[in-house]
Amino acid sequence: MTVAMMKTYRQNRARFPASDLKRYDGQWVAFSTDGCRIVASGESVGQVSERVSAAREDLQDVVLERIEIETGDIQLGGAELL
Amino acid sequence: MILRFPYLTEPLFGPPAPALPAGARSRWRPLVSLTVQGPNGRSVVFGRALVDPGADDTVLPLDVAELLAVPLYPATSHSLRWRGQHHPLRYGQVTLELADDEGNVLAWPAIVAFTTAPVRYPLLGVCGCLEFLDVTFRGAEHLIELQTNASFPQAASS
Repeated sequence: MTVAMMKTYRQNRARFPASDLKRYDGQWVAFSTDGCRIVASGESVGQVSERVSAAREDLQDVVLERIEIETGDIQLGGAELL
Repeated sequence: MILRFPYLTEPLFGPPAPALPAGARSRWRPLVSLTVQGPNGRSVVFGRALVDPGADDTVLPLDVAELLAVPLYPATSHSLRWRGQHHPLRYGQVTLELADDEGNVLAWPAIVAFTTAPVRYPLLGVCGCLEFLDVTFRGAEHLIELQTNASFPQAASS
């Protein structure tokens, strides 16, 4: 991805409706490089990769994120690995 | 070279914790986009990696090692605990790349840890990443600044 594409991704991803992400709770998703749509999702990066290929897209042309819906838990960063 | 990234938000679907402003609907976190390149010339882009000085290692999902054909070092006894379970760590070398919206790009070879633990974000920890960078968390501005330091692998910078 080029720097310009990444900038576009970040801008559009920030506007992606949070309510539309709820169904992907606990999954990895592959966003299109413009950050406007979800190409594939799965339980693991490997599964997402397979589904991206099945959708005739290239893993290098998507952006991966893991979706976790936040209710009451707080994120502790690396401390969670203790 | 200084790279600047605005903090990113994660939406809240429940009431905000008392530590947040009343009515807050999201949290701000020092998350940056990260490109991981493997020896096979392929790459994977993560939209959100956590800049985490509390993490000893830079940690990525194990699947990435397979996708990028990363030769893994011989297994060791090192592991991480995630939600009460031990997950062995495997290590390998990749190229990490950060790029900000101004077109500044940093790329360097790094020995990173791979895990099967379902960590939410790839972690940019001390080894492999923050040891090479001086980082400023500009909390009031929700901005993170990363600047190469004397330890940064010189031949790999862009």
